[in-house]
Amino acid sequence: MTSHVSRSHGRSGRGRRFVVALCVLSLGLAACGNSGDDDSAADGSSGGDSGSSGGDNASGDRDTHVDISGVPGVTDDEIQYSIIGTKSNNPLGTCILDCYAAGVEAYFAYRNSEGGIYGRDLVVSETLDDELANNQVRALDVISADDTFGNFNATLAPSGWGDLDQAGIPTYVWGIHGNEMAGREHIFGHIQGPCSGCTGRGLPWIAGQAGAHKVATLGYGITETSRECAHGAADSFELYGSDVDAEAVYVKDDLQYGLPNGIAPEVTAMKEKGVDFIASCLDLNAMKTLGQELERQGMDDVTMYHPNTYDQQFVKDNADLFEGDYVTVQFLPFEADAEGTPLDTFQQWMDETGGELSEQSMVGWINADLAFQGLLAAGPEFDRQSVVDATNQMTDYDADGLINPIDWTRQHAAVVDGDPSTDYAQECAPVVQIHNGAFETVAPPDKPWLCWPNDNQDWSEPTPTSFN
Amino acid sequence: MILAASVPEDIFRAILQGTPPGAVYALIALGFVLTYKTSGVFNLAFGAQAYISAALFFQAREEWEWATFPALVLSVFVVAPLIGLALERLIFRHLRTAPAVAKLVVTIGLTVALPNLFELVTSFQPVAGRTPEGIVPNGGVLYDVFDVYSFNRDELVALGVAVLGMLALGALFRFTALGLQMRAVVESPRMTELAGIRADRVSAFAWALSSVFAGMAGVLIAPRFNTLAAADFFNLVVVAIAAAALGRLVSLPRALVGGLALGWFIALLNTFLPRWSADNAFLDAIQDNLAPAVPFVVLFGVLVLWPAIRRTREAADPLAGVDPPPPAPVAATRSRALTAATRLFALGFFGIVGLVVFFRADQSWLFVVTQAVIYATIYLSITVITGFAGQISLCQGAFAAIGGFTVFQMADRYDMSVMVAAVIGAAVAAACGALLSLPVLRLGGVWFAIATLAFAYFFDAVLVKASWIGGGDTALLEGTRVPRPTIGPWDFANDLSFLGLALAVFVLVSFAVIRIREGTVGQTLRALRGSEVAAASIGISPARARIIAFAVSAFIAGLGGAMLSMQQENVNYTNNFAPFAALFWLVLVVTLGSRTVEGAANAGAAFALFDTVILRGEFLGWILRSPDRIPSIFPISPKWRFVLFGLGTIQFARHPEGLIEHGKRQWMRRLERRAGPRTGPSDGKQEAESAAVGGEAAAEAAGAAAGEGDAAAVGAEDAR
Repeated sequence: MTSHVSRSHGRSGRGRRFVVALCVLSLGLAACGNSGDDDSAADGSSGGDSGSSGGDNASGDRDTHVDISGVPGVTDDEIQYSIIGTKSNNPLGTCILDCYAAGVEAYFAYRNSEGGIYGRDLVVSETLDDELANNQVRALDVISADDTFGNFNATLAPSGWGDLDQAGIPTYVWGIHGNEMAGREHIFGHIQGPCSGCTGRGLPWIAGQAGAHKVATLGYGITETSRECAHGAADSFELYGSDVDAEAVYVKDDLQYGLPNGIAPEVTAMKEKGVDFIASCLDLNAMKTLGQELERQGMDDVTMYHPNTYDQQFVKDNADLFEGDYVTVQFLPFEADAEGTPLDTFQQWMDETGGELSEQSMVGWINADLAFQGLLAAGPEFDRQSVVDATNQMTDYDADGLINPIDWTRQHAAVVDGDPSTDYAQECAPVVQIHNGAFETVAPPDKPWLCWPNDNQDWSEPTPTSFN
Repeated sequence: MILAASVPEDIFRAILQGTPPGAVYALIALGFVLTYKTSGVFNLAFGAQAYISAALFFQAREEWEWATFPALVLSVFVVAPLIGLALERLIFRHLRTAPAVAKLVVTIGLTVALPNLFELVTSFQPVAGRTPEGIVPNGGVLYDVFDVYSFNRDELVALGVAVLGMLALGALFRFTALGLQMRAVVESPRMTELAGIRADRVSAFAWALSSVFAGMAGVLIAPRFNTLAAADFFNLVVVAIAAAALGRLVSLPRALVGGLALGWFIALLNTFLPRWSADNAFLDAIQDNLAPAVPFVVLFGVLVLWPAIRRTREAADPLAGVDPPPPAPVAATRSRALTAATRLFALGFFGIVGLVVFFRADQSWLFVVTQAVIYATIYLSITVITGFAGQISLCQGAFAAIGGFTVFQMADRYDMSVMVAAVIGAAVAAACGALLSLPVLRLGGVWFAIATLAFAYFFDAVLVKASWIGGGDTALLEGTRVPRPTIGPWDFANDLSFLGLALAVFVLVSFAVIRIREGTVGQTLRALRGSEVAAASIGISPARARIIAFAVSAFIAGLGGAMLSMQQENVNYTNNFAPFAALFWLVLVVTLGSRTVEGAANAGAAFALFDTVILRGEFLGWILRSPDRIPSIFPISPKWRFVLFGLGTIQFARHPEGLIEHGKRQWMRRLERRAGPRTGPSDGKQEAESAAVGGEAAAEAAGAAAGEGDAAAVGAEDAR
């Protein structure tokens, strides 16, 4: 298997000599080094066994009120959280902070309606717009104020996550920035930090479902994530293409962000190569441009795979462009059977709190659930570190079936392609298809997840799964 | 190698495919040339004007549900010309004789201010995936004339307007008195007035016309974007400048052809490079690295390699290129007692602030104060290149990024001390600056600025992607993390100690900058600012001085970028150093003072603290002794920061010393008036003397005393 994600951590003797030579030469400094060079200090471990019993505390203790003093954001009747997110200057024009906060608030309202936890209500006491560029400043505001127990964070530029991690604040995030989550034990995504360049069986399987044989993969040149994603997709077809009779015949990983020059020549090239399936690593706006260009060049029948288009209104508005296309979702999709599932609860409480169903609101809901479960696992005499420790002992956290289970004892690490110890136990994704401007689950609605085992990388058909 | 069945057919198709984006570039290039021909202004704010009309049209159609015609009338034929008239009346009428570089700076400020002001006034917010409609019904309907590639109605209209616009404007300039008058006003407003032509009216009409064109271009271009964003329009302007440059900013037909040719060239590259590069490593590298940067490479190439562009005169004024010497700093002209009192006050003020920061500030305040100090260090690079050398560099963000990335790479690959790496990073940035300055040295002020902008975009589009700069897979896994330094026994992981380090670096760099200003290089640069020809006639080498200035400026920016990366423990390229973000740096520095260390310090403070202290109401809360008493209008939108400082650049042409220095001068004169009139020509004498004390050239002070700008006005007031 090809590994696209490799990194040298080595400190070669040659490198050291170079450093020593420069140190001697530079500025007459008596000594030089970098803060945190001491491995024990840099370990970043959360302190080992905290004595918390993980999920063993169960709800039996949930009503137990214990006086707690000296824990920031915890009063006799409230546990307070802050939210930081991108609202202003969002170049994508998508709803992030407001929608995410709506999900968190809805979850808190739901839990508070049951009596909260440990005799306290869960409260969002502060919502801060990071204006895209000020995530770190807002994070430091939260750290300095030190009046909230934990932080929720949904941003396009997560410059403050390192500070929140170092400050020991339990931080629950929109987990799309794998590189900013890696190795940070106080940072919990709604999913594990994604691996952009990793191979998988999902994409070839989708292409097989679409009856495709010639595949194109597209990515932006300006972001490493998008470029690697395009290569990872192509490599997936190299690995599994023969199993589904499909091959990657066109890889374009240097598209200009926003496609200001359109994408006409690329579509022509794909047409000449007979492409009948496009795996994209582009944003929702670019998918529309691509769809329009395909239509213009008479390639309406080409099926597209979208990574970022789980937006009901957008798909409804562009029904013709995206008919038959596939989209993967990071959580139990709204189109799955909701009855008796947490999806039902989510929809009910979003409705009650006046929030709109959206991808971001679900992310907020999942993050809030992990915060709650962490408290529950830590027990009634909790503090920040005990909650973090308890959360990091969860080996099968699935938000009650909303997401692919995460083993937080090991999944803070960056995913390395082909290394199951860094990855999910199963490769799973709920796949939806667009029909008449609406999403439909590809697998049965009661088992919408399509899963492959991750203990080997061999080709197999997926197993429809439910985590409820 | 796979070759298409018919290369000519592929070429023809690529040309057709490149025509819609080419028409977009042509439209903007035409508007750009129109503005330049009729106002003499190199209007980088053209994109901002286009954006406002596009967003307003979108707002009227989508939000207010107006019909197309009234929405078009409002956005293009009412608001756009009103903006043009306002710009002419309030700003550019007063800058007719200002240097081209000064006007350029004003337009950069407007680029930052106008979109934010519009968004504040109309509460406009871009919405993902909602493509703006065009001005014709069913704009997406396709027509395939050649049976090779189809155009939609919106694209055909844009192309038609570009061609018709070129013809109409060409006819206006060639066959009408008004066209001649507009050009005449640009050449010499006074001569035009002597001929009985009301220059103000003609100029106002010219601005209204060019603004209508900007508005129309914006509305026609908008359907190409699925989300409207001001930065996209600015990027288009940068590309279109290449097309406009092909016509030396005066030829409308060449601008049209240049825009179309750019679209065709990019489409041809995107057609053939992927096909031919698979078996050719050289072409593969071009495809991977250069194809996205083609517009910026073309722009840079046109500027550097086409001699004609260097001969484009910025104005017909015989004194063009001869800047009057700047007024001496207030510190050099006021009485010694006042200077001592001021310094004492400053010492006390900063002493108290320092004590509060070091002993009372929490982590958040420490962060923003440290950020202010580091940005002040970076802004000293602008002090050198703009304040001393009189050049506008729009690639300081790239130099700062080089410093940051070098630290990241050295620490990540070799576990090198980040302080050593910071010095190396600064040296690398200096080397890049020196290399870059070689081809652009001969360019005039405006073209120098545009060449640096092209480099900034090239860095952004190409170099950042390289794994040996931006980090590649490493960055993908863990970002571009940078550790804090340790020096001997001192560990700067602590925010307080890092602030101390940042202050030490700032003081060192400030000292160096002052030494440069007062040394040979500074004197040389000052002489060059006055008159390059005169300086050359006495044996001064402009090339050497400018290379040194640019390299020093890049060194400082690189060092500052490295410090910023250390502070944030991450390079955070997009947030910190992207070209559009770095434009605001220049805006801040020239608004507050580009010639002094104090100006850079003020700009650094404004960048980092204005939002927190003023707009979020923290200062008011402190005055009111309780955050609970902060009025409900706070926090004020951070967009006001861009509006206020963006509009602040307007004063640059009249008061290039910056608002703070200008304010101090006004204040000092008020004090002097209260103290009573002096006898004889004491103002001039004292200024000359003080200037000598301050190390300023006597000629400079004499020039200031001789009455240029506000000095003359105040002198007149004194006389009254």
